[in-house]
Amino acid sequence: MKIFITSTGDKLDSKVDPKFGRCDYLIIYDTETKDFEAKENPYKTGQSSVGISVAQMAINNGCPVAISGNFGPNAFRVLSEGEVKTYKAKDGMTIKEAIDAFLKGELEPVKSPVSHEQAEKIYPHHHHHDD
Amino acid sequence: MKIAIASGKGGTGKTTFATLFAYAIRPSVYVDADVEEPNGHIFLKPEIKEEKEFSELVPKIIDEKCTFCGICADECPYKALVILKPTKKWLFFPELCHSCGICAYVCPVEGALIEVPRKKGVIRKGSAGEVKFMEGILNLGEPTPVPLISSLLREIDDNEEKVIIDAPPGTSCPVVETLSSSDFVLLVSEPTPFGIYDLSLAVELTRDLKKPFAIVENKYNPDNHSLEEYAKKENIEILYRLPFEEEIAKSYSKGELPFERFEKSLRELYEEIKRRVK
Repeated sequence: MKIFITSTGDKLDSKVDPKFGRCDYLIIYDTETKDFEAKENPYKTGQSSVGISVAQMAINNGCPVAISGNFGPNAFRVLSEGEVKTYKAKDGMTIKEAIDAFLKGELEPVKSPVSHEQAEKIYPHHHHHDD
Repeated sequence: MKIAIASGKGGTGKTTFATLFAYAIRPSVYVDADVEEPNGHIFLKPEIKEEKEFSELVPKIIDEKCTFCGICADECPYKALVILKPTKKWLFFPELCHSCGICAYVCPVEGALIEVPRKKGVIRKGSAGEVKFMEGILNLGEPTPVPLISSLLREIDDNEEKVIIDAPPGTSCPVVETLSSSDFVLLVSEPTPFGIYDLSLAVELTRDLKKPFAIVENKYNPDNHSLEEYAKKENIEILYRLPFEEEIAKSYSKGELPFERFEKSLRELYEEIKRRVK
């Protein structure tokens, strides 16, 4: 099974990035081969809809599980419709710790997205005020 | 003649000035193009006689025909469409859709993606005495007000002699759309550092659009020369001044304005602009 994790770096001892759409790196970990692939998030500085694009990456890469800190409403909708299960890593967890915790069934499933308003408070960023 | 009332900064008195002006030069037309927050109606208190729905085309996928190839979603510049190949589902995010039509254009399967109208706002018309009133109201959460603004501006009768267009604040697309169709632009500013800075952006934009323009100074205080100095340096005229008075602020807060008080001077301003545009 492939696990899709938002990361602050390209290694297994990098910390989980709590931002889903605007994370620095994406790590796809294969639980069978124990191999992983790290990609820079191409949407990190996109103007809008970055959560949708990253969620689509998880689906296109055939990952049934996604781990992050917070999932925005659009990303959450895409992931749930795409039948990707979402889990929350605890603050400060490394990728490896998050994977181990998930495999032991210790990660908390995410049942609802953060609202746009909450997201704005956690990660203030420039909203594009129309093109 | 169409006179647009704009300003870089919000809250400088565009609507105060635009409604006073439209009233003073009646019979006239007042058009509220600040469709994300129209408030001219508060002061003019028009009787609304007509309300038209404003809609635009958005995609709808016909499940029986769609092959879930995903080309529409790949091409959508706003990521408003998502195709989930493995689960054969499609998702549409209306608040991201700009109704550009690319999805329908690129869909390779006949009849798999059709376009259907979706209500995005309304255009209302009415009158306040001898002032004809028009406004656009955009639904909350819509991605862009530009199509509604252009639709509203197209509704203005070409035979109307005196048209005052209350523009949205800022210097982005909605303002460009509003100023482009006007003959003269009045930039309302206040003598504060923020007011002057944002005015300078609006000046740059108005110059780029090659529109004749002048400044209206709101909250004018004879002891503060900052706006005057800016105007002098930039070689722009200040054609009108509204004084900084508690009385005006008090009546404004009740949705009232001293319409009669500025009537005469605003009529003279109109004549002055007319001479410049000819």
